[in-house]
Amino acid sequence: MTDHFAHDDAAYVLGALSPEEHAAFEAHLATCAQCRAHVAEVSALPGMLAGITEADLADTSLSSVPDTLLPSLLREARRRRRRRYSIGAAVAGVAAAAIVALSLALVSPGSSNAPAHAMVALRATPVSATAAMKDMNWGTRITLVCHYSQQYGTKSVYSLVVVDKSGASHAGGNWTLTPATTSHLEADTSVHLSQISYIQIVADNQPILQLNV
Amino acid sequence: MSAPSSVALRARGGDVTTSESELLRALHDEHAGVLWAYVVRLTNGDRGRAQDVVQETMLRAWRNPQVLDQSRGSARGWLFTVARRIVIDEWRTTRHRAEYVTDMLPEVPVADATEQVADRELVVAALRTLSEEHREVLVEMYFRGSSVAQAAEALGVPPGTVKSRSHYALRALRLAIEELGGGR
Repeated sequence: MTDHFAHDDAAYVLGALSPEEHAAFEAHLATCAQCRAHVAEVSALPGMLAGITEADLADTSLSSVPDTLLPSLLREARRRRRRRYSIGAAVAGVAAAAIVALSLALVSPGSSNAPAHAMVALRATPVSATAAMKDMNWGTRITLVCHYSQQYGTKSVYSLVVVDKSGASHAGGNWTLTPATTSHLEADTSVHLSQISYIQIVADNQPILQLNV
Repeated sequence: MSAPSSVALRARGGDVTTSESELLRALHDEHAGVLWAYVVRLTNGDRGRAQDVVQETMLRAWRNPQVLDQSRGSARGWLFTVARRIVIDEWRTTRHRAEYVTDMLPEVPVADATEQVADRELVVAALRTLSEEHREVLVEMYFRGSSVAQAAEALGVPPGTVKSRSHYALRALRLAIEELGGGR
């Protein structure tokens, strides 16, 4: 037999139980951890509904998507794409959709003079890295020092992603890290340092390290 | 990488490729309805502005195709979050100009109000995605203030059904709010 009160949580938080049921449910809560957990799961919702009226839900007059949206989307995508190739990365700013080629190159240690910051691990990973970012007149130079700490394991492919302040991400080159080695890499992006939100190192489609600017 | 082939195609230049227009079409078909209803209310029914915002949001998704690699819910949450930022940034810019001219009140309470409006509209959008059964039981019990017994009578179902429906309806609502990127 299931808990007689098992579904009372919603009526309780919505204040819809009769006074008798309300009292009985509260008495039951004192002894039933599961029902307390149920109430906790939904107790924030009445507050989130505050300020909404039934009329807001009935407002369907405006909710049909205009027929012009899709054609306009396709047209604008075509236009931006052309612009991207005519002006290319020289266009900066939020709406620019600049396509950015990050070129990764192995560099000799110590070639950067910008301060290096440790990247923060987003999940368990044998890789640690520091990144130094330097604003150049053409964009930003990112110098990475990646260390693969494990003495065992296989080579893995990593990539760098630069995310700008409009939320657009600029995928860059890939490189391979071998266990128990340290690699020095340099990546150039046309996104200026002031426009970078964060950079990530990605392995197997999962971001593993991040540095916020 | 499991990124869609459109990424590689885009990098090679030329016109918008077939797979890219398919990507935009898919985005539109899957999400435009829900996103539109949200944005058009955020713009106070200004369909022209709403269209600009929805279009810009979808173009940003098109530029970030990895957004669409995620589950449907995460993609939708991303779209809602980006659309909300575009609208709020516009509000702030407009208000900033108004202040410059009229030297109005300090901005903090106003800024909070805009976030609150966007939060509330997100909950409205979430409510719209619920099943009719779930929505109507919440309308009775929350918006009309009905007791379980009154809701049972209005809906023509036993009180036990009202309780279990509202139990599942609130959970569905919570999930819907989270799917749209809210409730955090």
